Amino acid sequence: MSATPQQQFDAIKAAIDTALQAAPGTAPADRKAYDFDNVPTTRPSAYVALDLSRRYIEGFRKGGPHPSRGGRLVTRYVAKHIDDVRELQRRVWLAIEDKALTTTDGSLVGPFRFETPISIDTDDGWASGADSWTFTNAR
Amino acid sequence: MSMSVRVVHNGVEGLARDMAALPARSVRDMKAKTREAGIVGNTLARDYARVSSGRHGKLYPRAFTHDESTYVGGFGAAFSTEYGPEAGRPQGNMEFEWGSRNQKPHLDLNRSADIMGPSFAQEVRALPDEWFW
Repeated sequence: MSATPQQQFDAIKAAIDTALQAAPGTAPADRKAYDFDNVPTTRPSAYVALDLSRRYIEGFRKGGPHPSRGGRLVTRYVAKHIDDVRELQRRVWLAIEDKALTTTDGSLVGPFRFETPISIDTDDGWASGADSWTFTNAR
Repeated sequence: MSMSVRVVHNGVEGLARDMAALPARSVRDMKAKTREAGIVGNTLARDYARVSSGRHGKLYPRAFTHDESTYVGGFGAAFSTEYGPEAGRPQGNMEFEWGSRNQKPHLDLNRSADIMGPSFAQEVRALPDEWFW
């Protein structure tokens, strides 16, 4: 079984959406994750932008070629208030860190390993930071 | 009919000679390999940046530089190389690598490092073989 890139994206988005809307917390129900190029023109007051790409990985194992494909996910947290950025961050960590997600065709994507933090900056009345993750089983 | 046999004798003296040369040679080789990795990695990253930087980041690829440092002392030796856009150069501080609120991540350095990491490790692993040849 192998999911398509779209199915993998959908699984990641669904997991993050669920975490963003879960109680308890102060997050309104419209908090969501979007593809980076697909954020509504009227920006929501807090959202997560996703960027998914394949990543070159060497055959690390001596026994033969690496059995899996590598991927990289960048989760960018954007909000009007810096506290909300940290809350988005916390929820995304809960949703994906070290977890493998099941796609609609039953295969796994992940686990997502934390790679690098990109610190929170403010500009133009917005605050934004990001984290990057590497994972296996990418398609 | 004549026959000649050439005997190559690799003895303890040979090993001793190799080992005596090792401190100087290993430092020289490690330094060179590390520098090479910086040059190749930087070239690769700059090429990615040339493709991804676009109209508003025309000068960004030219900001890419590499820099090496070596420490050899009482506690051992450290060789390091560093590459990427230099903030002091025109557009060198653009937020392209990881993107920003309005900018998708370009990952020029990451894509370069994904390739350079394993290949640099392989090059370094191969060095001891050369030292004892």
